[in-house]
Amino acid sequence: MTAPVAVTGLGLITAAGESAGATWNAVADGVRTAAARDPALAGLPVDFSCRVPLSREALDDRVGRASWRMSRHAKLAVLAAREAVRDAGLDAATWNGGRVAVVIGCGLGADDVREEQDRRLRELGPDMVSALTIPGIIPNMAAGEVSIDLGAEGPSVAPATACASGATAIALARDLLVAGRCDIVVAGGAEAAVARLTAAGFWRMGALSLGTGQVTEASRPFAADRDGFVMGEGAGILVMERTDDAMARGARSRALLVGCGSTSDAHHPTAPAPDARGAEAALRIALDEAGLAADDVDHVNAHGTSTPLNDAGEAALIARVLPHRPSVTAPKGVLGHSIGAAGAVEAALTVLTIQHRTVPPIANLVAPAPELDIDCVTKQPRRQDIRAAVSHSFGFGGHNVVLALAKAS
Amino acid sequence: VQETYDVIRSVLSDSFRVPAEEVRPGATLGELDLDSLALTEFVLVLHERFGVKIDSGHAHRGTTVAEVADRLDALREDGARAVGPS
Repeated sequence: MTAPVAVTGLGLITAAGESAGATWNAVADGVRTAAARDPALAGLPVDFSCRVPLSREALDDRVGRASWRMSRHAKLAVLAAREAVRDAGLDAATWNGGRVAVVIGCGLGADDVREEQDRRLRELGPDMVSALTIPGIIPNMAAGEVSIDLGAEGPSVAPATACASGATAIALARDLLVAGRCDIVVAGGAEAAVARLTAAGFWRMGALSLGTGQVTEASRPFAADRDGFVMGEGAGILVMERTDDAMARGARSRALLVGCGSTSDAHHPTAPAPDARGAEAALRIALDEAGLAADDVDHVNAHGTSTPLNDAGEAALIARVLPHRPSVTAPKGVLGHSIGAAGAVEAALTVLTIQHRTVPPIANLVAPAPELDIDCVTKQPRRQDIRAAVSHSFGFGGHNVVLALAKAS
Repeated sequence: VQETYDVIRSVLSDSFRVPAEEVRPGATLGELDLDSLALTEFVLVLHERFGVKIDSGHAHRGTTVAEVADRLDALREDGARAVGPS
């Protein structure tokens, strides 16, 4: 067993709203995807996405003076991190910043900046390329700007494990806490990579839903007619502390992170391993660390991307390793897929699921595909007392991360 | 020229989020919180707006807003003379 750590603060900014509360309300309603036609993708074969519903001006107003130099994923990270720190009852003005770590995953980075500056280079020449190009596109700048914003002077890092980056960040953050490298960690993921090249690239892989019909119904994890994911953006941040530290300062623990399993398929760049053996190993490690038996798992927050292959493999894994049919939800039905942020957004939603004793339904799903033998929550939220839950995240590269979370008390 | 000054002021507030009330002709770029990264970007944005490029010697942290405006006006006048009727 590995010592649990306390989740004392949450911050979310997603396609469903600019706070953890707004996101939770929309996900718990679970009606349909927050997708809309996206002017930035006009004319492409897939021209819709799940955007954070804030204009650049609105984001800049919230971030403040330093926003001029930040790309969108850094702004989202800064706002979510401030919310999480506030939620934890901590004050960045007075804490011992040398003992605060920042771990914020990012799968892609600011591809819109890259595209725009590449266009300027070709059309206007090198003199007209912005000096903000590199600070804008390097994927670690969300972690960098958050550390600046919060005066967090401990270790900081930006893990990149594609669609598992946010979950990898939380797992690494837990390790930093347990190893005593910091006392507080601000951890999660941020992504704002909805851009023409990214969309075209995912489309060429066959990963995106074509959205025939209503785009709000395009993301439908575990549905028989699912046809791919919907690109999203956002940031999810957790503040975590060792349980004795949290208790000593009288902080409320929203939930405990009790186990983290990280494995690699060592199989193929983009195709999941047959039988999801790498994902299964990650799940078993997370449970071992937590001292949980398989049938202790009451709930699964699935990676559930709405792609045919991912959802089939994941459902088979759940049915095989957790045959007692824990409830399953998949927030990408509402939020779309925020790539490097998704693992952290979903970890935060799992914390809220445990706290609210309410499992959100999977949007756009009436019943799972008949061959998938799992208990998907559909149509309306389900009341459930959850002692332990797992959140799955899998990324291109064969990265598998499973986080085990448990009720605080 | 007043118009040049007004454009600089709007660039400072739109692109660098400098509060409008902080911008005075005598304020230095450093006093307005423009660091080296911001100064490089400032020169680029002015280049786009006015079609002339200020060299970094005329846009450093000690340069005042009025001096930037004067320099831009001088460069534009030179440019106009270079292409004007002889």
